[in-house]
Amino acid sequence: MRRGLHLNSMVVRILCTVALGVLSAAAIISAIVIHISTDIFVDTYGKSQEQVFRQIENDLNDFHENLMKIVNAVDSSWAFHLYLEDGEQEPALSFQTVYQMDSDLEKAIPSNINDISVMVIGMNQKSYINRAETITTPKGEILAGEAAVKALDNPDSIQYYMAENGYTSTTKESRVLMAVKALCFLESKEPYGLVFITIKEEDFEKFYKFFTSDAAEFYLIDSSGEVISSNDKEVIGRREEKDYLAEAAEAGVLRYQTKEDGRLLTVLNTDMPYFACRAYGVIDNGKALDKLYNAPQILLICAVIGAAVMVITLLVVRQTTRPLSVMVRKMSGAIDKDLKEHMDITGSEEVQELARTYNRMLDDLNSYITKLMEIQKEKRKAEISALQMQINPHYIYNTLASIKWLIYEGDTEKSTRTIDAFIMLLRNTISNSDEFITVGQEIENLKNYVLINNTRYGDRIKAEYFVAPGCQNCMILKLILQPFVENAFFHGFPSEMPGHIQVFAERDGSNLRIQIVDDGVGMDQGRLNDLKGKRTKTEHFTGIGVNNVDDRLKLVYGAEYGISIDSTINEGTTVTIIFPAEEFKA
Amino acid sequence: MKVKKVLAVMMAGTMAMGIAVCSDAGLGTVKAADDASDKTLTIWAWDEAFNIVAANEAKEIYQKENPDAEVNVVTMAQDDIVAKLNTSLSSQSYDGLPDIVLIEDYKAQGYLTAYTDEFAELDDVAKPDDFAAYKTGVNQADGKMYGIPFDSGVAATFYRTDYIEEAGYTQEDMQDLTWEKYIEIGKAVKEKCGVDMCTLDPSDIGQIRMMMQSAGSWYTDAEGKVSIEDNQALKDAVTEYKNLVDAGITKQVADWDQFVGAFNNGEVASVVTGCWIAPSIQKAEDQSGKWAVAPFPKMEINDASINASSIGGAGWYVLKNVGHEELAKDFLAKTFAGNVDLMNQLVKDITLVSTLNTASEAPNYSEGSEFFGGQKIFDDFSNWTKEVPSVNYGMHTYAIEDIMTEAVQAIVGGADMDSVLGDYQIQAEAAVAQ
Repeated sequence: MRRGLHLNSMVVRILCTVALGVLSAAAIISAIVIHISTDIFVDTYGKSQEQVFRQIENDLNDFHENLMKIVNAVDSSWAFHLYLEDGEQEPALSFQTVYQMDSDLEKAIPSNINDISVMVIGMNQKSYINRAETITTPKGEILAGEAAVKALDNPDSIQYYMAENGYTSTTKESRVLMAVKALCFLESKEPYGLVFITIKEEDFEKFYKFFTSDAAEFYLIDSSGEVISSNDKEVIGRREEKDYLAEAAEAGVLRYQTKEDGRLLTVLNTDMPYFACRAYGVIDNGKALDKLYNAPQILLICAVIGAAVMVITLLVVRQTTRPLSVMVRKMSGAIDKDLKEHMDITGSEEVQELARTYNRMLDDLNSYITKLMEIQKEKRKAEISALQMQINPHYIYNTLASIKWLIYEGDTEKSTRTIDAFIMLLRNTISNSDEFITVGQEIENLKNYVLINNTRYGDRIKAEYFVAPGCQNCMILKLILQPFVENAFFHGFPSEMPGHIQVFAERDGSNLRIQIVDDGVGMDQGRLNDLKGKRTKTEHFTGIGVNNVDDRLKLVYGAEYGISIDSTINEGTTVTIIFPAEEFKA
Repeated sequence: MKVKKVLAVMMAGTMAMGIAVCSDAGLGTVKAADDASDKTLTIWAWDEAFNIVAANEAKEIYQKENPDAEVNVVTMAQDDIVAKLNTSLSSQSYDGLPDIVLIEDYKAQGYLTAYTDEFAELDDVAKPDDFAAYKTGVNQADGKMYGIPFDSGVAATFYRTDYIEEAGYTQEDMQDLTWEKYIEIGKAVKEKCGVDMCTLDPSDIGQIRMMMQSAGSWYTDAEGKVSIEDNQALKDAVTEYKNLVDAGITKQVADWDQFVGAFNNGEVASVVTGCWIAPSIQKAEDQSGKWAVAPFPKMEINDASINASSIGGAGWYVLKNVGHEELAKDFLAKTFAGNVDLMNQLVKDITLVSTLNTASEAPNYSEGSEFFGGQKIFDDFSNWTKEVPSVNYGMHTYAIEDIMTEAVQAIVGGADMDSVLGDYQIQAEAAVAQ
């Protein structure tokens, strides 16, 4: 049984086509859907992030406003003025001053802001801090520091300053953002102190934390290009020189789309004048989308569905093609089985129809061939019987001429016998149209034929007949023995040599065996072949020659029957004819 | 027919699988917390000279045994810790919260009542009996232990022997001190040495609190009811406080920085507060040998008042919903809840007066302190600790104190004490009304 799948077989082809189809459909649809939704996503996501970004901007501005209020509260508090002045105070007054300072500041700080520390330092290095912590940096250093200088240079506004370390014990190891404002006398504009509002950078991050993610970054960059605050801690304090940030700032739109190293970026940006900064939100759309589409999962789903479809297809196709392959096997074996084996009518409708048609065709073919063979047989029979009717006219002339000679010699008895034999012969061959006669009648014909020949050519060749009991009435094809006797007469005994022709008929099992034996000169192989092949030009009794006999036997009885000729030079020839023995039924 | 059945089953199977895969994708949310492999603990505390040092030494000890554990000690102002805990716990957002947090004893009950479910029970880490009796009440709720008591808040009078002697007094005079005597000495010091006796922060009335406790009283009575108007101990404490201000021997400071700066710079002759201030005092190494420690002064005008009180003191608490509850409990069990070696080390490094009973076995406890002129200060601290009158702090100490600060301000300014306290009794009751 050939069970393996051939590369060329239908199952394989269908499977390949289906797999290719399913996969390419999945790939194309996924690609289209992802492409369409990417555009939509980038746009909607950008818009929603725009809102978030606006919110950050508002929050930061609110924060600034709150810091402004705190600074104003300090600036307008008499207690702070008094506290920062030089000189001793009455204990009761100083007690009151300090308390008033505390409560003024406490009132100014909104309850929702709890992660800032407010430090006020007078130019005389008197200090105040609203937290239970110590100021770790010497005050002289603070006043000479970059942040203080920046604020003193711009006394009218809050200056924001990013420092790697704060000035107090809780902030000295963390990065801080400081809002610094100089406190000045109204008239002289001389500074008398500085307010430092400190927020840890990590606390400041809460303003934009809800915006940032793996795919979204936030930068607050001051006018010199230095990053003041960002979720990317690496870049804080460094100069950020990404081209797309500058491009976005130049474009003057809130939402700016650009490509960088093949990444599709949305850059949100806005100016933060209070902070003297520009805020940037950078969204990596590719990464944001990655979260949206779980590529391995999509592939897994495709693979599972694809595999299921393949299995189903395999089963269906197998089911459909099994009767077909059975049919293929049967068809290729049909020749060996004489076109006899019919198909089983199973399988799908088409295959059943095919099987039915094939069976019909096989039947038609069979009956056609049978008919053809019948016709061929009939044709051959007709031909042979036509030949058998053809009594050679020369034979008749010569026989009649021989009889005339007998009459002329006055041998009445001999001429009467000869004429009788001739009449009998003619009657049995021409008049009797039956194809089969009995062995006895055939022997009779031979006797008459031999008698006529002996009359014409002399008595030197003697014929003897031995018919075994029970063979007399067997059926035999008419004139089947005559050609061999005729052949022995004319070719077995050349140059007037005497001899014998013996005819034996006997049963051999269910067959009848008839042998015509002569003791003439015999034949070599070449002549034997000539004998079987073509008709010789000798004067024959009928159109049937030795060569026809074998054909006739095979035509009537089948291929296994026929004649065999056995000849030895100078010893004679034996012709054996075998055919089934059947009793004659009149 | 068979084929159809098989087909149907196959199709159903495929669809089910598809749906399973899809739904899996839909429901697959990211769970951040409780990652066993993440062994990072965050600890919040204040006072870098004291609590932070303690936390860092505990971290070192713990990491010796657990090298893969990451411990992150964050220094914060106490106000920040309070504000952030309140904000985050009330909204149940745990992002950025610590696993272990130091909470002052006065505030502990307030937190445990408001956020009971946020704190991990520590009964399997330590037993209340292991700690000084007066401390453990504040760490418990419903009979369960939620906090590991840390430092003693026993109050003491730290003073400069050189100034006192220059003013004509002896160390003898500082024993069994009363506030009246203290003011007397202060006046002499101011006169002779030109420095103030102590600092006062008008917005922090810790002194009044200590005086009150020395008389066994508090802003609230034993039942937790606000007791201001008719609280004799409070009245006496305010009187003593006013006398102190009026005597002109105090240096007014506005913040912690100035408070520490004043004694570090030699601007005051004494510091009357909890024993936890010792490491801050010792920061001024040039003053070594010039300091001594005496008991807390009692109020002469109040019979109940004794020479012992307490201020501050804190305990370690585990926030159980932040994500490392087991690791945090393990950390406490191996450090603050019973490690005598750690306590011994902390005695030396930060003058810790531990509330862990077994800590008294630590060898460093019986050592004399060089900075304090060889005085066996720990013996003294632990003796005084035993005498601290136990009071019920209740849940509203700071809420009432916010109001009391204003009242004291008015009284110091000259207002009549009885009528002011009468007014503020009503305000305080309103403020703590549930």
